[in-house]
Amino acid sequence: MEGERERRASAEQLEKELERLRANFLEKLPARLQALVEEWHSLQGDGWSQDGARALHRSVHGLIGTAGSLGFAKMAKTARRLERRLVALLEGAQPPNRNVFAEVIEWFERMGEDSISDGDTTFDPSSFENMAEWGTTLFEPRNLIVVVEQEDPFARELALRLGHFGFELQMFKKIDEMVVGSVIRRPAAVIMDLSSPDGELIGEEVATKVRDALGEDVPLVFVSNRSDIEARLDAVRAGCSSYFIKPVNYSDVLETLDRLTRSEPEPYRILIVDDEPDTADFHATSLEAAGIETVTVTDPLDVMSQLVEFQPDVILMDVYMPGCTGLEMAMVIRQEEAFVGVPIVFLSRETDRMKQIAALGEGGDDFFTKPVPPDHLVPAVSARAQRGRTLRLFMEKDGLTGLFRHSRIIEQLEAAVRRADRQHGRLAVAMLDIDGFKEVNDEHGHLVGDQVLKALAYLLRQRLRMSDVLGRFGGDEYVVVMPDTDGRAALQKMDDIRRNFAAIDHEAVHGSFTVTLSCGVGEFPAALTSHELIAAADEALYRAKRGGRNQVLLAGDPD
Amino acid sequence: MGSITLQRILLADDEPDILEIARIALETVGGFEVSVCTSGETLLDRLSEFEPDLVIVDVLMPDMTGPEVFEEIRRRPEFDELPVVYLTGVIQEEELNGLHETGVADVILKPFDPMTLADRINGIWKGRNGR
Repeated sequence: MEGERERRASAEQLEKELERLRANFLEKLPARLQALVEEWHSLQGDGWSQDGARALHRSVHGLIGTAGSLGFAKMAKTARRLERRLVALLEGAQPPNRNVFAEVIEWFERMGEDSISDGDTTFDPSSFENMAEWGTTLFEPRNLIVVVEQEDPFARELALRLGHFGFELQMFKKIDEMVVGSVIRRPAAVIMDLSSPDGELIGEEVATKVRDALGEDVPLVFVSNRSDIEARLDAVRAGCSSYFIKPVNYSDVLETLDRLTRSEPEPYRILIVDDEPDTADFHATSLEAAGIETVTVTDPLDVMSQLVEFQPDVILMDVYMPGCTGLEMAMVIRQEEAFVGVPIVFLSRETDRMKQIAALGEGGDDFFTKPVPPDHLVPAVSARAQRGRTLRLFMEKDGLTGLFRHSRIIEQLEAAVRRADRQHGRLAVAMLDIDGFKEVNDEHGHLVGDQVLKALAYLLRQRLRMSDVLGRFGGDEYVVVMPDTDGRAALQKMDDIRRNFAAIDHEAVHGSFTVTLSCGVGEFPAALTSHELIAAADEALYRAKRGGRNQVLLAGDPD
Repeated sequence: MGSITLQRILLADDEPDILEIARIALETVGGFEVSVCTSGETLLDRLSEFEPDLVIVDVLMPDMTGPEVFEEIRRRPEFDELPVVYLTGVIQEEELNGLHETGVADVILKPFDPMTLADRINGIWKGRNGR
């Protein structure tokens, strides 16, 4: 008892001490931030030095620990993001440009604002648990691109451009500097300059070196000043994924990197419809053993809801079921436009080939006699799923940007709403619109306009999570569905993206130009249906536009 | 050294604020005797005189890093069993693993919760002595 009382007393005393430290910290902070901003200013232009930047990074790093330990969670978070930015700058080969300088100053300002709002909220010990969480979520590692390039202007330009799209870069001047352990983590691609002064073919030689240092399957992108077939053959033999001739078109490089860094294909999803649980189980187990996801439905009347939610690649369906037959079910499924393309494979004990063929006439794609042995089931189902996905890609994805088309994104949103509803989870929807896109088209032509549309798609793909669903609503309007995310977090993320996008230089015939975007965010459960969410995001977007563009607003927030 | 209960802690971090937070937390709740310094060099200088039971050292310091300090401590025969705990702001998993692999007693992440810091240090201490 005595011990417990003592403990409580000492905890109370520590809380008091911490209050004092918090007040103290808050009082000194403005001067401290001011000093850091001045330090940053002194690094601008010719004043740039890696040592100076490193010292600044250390100060910011220190602020995170102090602010966080004193419970200034929001400020610590902002400082963490600034730190991340500084680390990227330190890794870059060249001093940051003016936009980046301005951006860093904005971060410092934000830290000041955050500290005030943190100071106003009462100290919440649970914020420490959250910190551990944001440590990981904010630090989703970015895609790392390694660049080996001795011609500096090209490397600098590339670093700058890729940086805006959220790639992390590590630069090497010579291939020989890249040895085991010198690359910070597994890169998504290695870009190599093959230009050699005497025009030698060095593709295979450098490819071997890269593989020795980084392993076998790292994608290689070659850049060269030689366009002859000999050089290209050399590159292909070296196993390169892409080959660019100087002067390089940066949008092409981006497109390649975007392709190389797209997420790994998800496992196939198979919906099993069978009223016999044992058979269903047997098939599910065989498929799952091969890494395929399955959902089993024993009542055919549940099929439609699972189709929407589980989004299967293939439906494996028993022919004879009580309530309705598999054939009837197939006809119902085929009446829904969204599921016309999902392959249906019938299962039955039916061995009469004629009856089997008749079943195919009703919208089935194949007929297996059950139980199907695993070594037959897995490859047969996988092949169907693969083909189904390829076909669907053409049907569902926008050809220009590779994002989901309008109808498809609405379906995805509906599925996400249902999930959020059932799990009492969170969900945010963002609508983005490029500011003055019509003028871009009028002034620079549609080809350049298309490049701008693609740039935004690349940026979204690089900066958002794999679980976020991205769509192009049409024209220059984009939609992002962010599961497990509240409006505030979505707002911050989209604001980052807004900033990144504004910093991108788009190339046109008469020099380069920049464009901004506006964005509105709606959140569940403030808006309860897909329709309401879109309307809420749209309303916020409208206010963002009316309020001067180049901003992100949350539905329900004041302008 | 070698005491059963943890009493004396020597702590180094180049950030004075964090030093203050950690010191107060360890003294008030843990009841430890804490000595602080703002660099690895000072910590090494003070080892023989203060005779700590445990050392907490920041990883990222300008002149001498935490791992360098740790290495130096291990080089001295009289301190080759002294438990060393890193304090660090890194949160990349690989980096963290790397720190653990240096053989320190444990790694504490910044920001930390001052209310539970003493308990955590006590836990690390007991875990070590229990071996």
